[in-house]
Amino acid sequence: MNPIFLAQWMKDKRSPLLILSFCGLSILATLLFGFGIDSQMKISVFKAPGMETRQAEAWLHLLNKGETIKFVIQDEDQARSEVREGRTDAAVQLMENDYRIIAAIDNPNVQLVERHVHSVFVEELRLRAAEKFADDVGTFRREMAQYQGDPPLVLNLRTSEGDELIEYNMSLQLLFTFSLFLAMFTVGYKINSISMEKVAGIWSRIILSPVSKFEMYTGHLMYSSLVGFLQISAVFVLFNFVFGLDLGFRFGMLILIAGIYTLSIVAMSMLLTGILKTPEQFNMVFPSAIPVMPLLSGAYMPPGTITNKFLLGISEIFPLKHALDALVAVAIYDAGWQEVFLSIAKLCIIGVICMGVGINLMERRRR
Amino acid sequence: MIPFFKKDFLVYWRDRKEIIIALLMPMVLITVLGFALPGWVENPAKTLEMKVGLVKLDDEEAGLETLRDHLASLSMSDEMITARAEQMEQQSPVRQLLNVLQEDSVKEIVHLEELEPNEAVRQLKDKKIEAFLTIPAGFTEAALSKMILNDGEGAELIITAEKASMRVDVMAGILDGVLRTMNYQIAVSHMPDVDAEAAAVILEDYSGIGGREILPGVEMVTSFQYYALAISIVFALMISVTIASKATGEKRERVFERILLTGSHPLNYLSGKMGSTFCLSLLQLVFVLLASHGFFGIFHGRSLQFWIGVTVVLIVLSFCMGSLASLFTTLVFRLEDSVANAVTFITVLIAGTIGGSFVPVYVLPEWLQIAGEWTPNGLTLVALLEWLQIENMNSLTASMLKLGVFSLVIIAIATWSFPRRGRI
Repeated sequence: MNPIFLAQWMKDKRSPLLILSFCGLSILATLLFGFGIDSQMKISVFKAPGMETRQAEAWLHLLNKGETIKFVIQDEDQARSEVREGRTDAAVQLMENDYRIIAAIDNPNVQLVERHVHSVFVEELRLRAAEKFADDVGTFRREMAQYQGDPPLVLNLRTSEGDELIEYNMSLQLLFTFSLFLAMFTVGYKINSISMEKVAGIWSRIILSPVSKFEMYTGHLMYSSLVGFLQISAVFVLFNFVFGLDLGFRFGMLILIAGIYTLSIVAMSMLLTGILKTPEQFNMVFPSAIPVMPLLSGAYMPPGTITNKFLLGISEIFPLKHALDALVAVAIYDAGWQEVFLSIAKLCIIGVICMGVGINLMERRRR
Repeated sequence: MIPFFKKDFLVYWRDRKEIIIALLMPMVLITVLGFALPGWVENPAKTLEMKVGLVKLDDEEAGLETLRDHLASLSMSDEMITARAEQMEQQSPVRQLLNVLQEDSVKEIVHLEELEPNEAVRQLKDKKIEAFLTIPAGFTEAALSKMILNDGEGAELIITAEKASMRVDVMAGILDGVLRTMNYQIAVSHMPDVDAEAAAVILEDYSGIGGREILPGVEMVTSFQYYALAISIVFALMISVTIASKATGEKRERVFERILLTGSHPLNYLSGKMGSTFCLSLLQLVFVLLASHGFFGIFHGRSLQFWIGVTVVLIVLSFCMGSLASLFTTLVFRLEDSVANAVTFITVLIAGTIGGSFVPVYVLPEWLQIAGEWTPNGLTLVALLEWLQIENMNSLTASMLKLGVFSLVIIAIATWSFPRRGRI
């Protein structure tokens, strides 16, 4: 057994609270973020002055028949201030036979809300108008619903092979993003112990011992990789087996991608450790540089949101992007090895380059 | 206190790499994020634009012709047949659909181009088009015979795309809306109690309802403004961490003990940390915000009152950062190095994440967003964004009072738990 690896392990074994709380918090945060994500957009509605609560509730019921947007009744002042502060895109003011969209900006979400509210209102108002001509209101509504259940015109989504288009699972993407993102911090924190040992002089003393340089590096790197890998795997296992999330049929592949990703992250942290001299600097740069990666890789947004060529180019150098691509392809599109080969290859290349340059920088400094 | 302030200030100042990181990195990040992601704070409708192919396999005239022949063969009065034929002409779904797709509001998003089937598949594979819409052969005939004669299965339109995406969803949403309206009209006309007169009343144009109220007095936050604020705030937080982490070295090299031997009060050491953090983070905030203002004009044309407000916020924020630095320093002396390090790291990580500095706030669940406003960076960000938008004096004062009280509490905890003389 590698003595350095063992030393790291003993260190954590003797005071396990730290590493456990680190990993535990990361896993907890992933779970919290992941499960808190509501794929439904929440929109506040409030009634116009003089409107009866019963009418407002009737509209609310109709509005909530759709799946993408959830409408909740709220106090007018609060709803308005939330829109003003940009905490929500829009709010809806209900009137007896009309509505107003309250918005501070114009974006696709507002348009989406407006389209939905408009169609609900128009349909209901038409139904109400039609009821005046109908002999029996109940039958009329039933027949309308029945006819519309089997309409003459339908729309279908297909892939070019003619299969059904698989619906994209955004919350799964965010789950992956968070677990990959938070694992970066754990790995970075562990890798930083190399520079801590250097500053403390332990590194120099180990160099004098019979332990070879190769063993020193592999010991640290293996240990950090293992911790990061275990953290990601724990999240995946929890999702798949405990919470019963649908992660596709190739769980093993997901774990493998997580492993390769961890290695590339370890390499990236090594590069940063090589560039920065002290653990303090690392502690400053690392947490400010890492959070930008998912942002630039577009990991928080639905795929295809980012179209900027420059940005797409930058995101190529982040392991997170490729790992996410591969995980999403496997979990959602049930991709095989050929499909994710490119992403995995890119991960490996990033890993090799970062590791090479990183260790080189680290060794050069000692002379 | 002054010598200690000078010490910490110089220790930071002389580390040029750190200074460069602290000043340039935020600028780089603001530039990259501001240019690259103009979408998610401002109007992102532009990013929704898409090229869509249209594959028309349907022959509308032929379909109408077949149906007319079919009508003639039915045992109906001539008047009825003429009426139905007219109705068909009017309600031809393909024509209605294409009309909607030619509307300006739709054209802004969907750029339609008519293609041959093979060409469409090829362009889709080459990612030249986002998706293509197929109107299958016999569409008009199938649709109209169900619409007018209530005969047959109806017809389907097909959108073909490689993968589901936001754009495809938007396009499907638009088409779905069009079809829904058509289906609805037909449904009404098929209801037994409804005659033509009633149908006219029912299908009256309701486009007059609704409308938007754009909240007054609100300026849109641009992505440059958002990132400039979020990133400069988080870097101020980083300064407090860095200055506190210098204490690790001072503990290692027994600087603190030597300071005590000179007869100085331990709290002088702590207040040096606080003072220098205050000055450095204020300097950094001012530099980053002024530089982004100079380059990107983030506060272009704002009133004096606005600038005074921002100044106040920056001063209170720097004070808060100073208090945090003193707390982190206390942690270094009270706990083991690595533990103190990890606690600081985790604190910054949590505060940064839920305070919207690392992760765009909107991806977090709602309760976390609310919790984020209880972190100093989150509170400041929200307060500044609000100030930027509506310049409401009361809410700014309230936020700043909260932040001030928070800082005082932190200072109290740090001072109280900082090792006294003889206890180190």
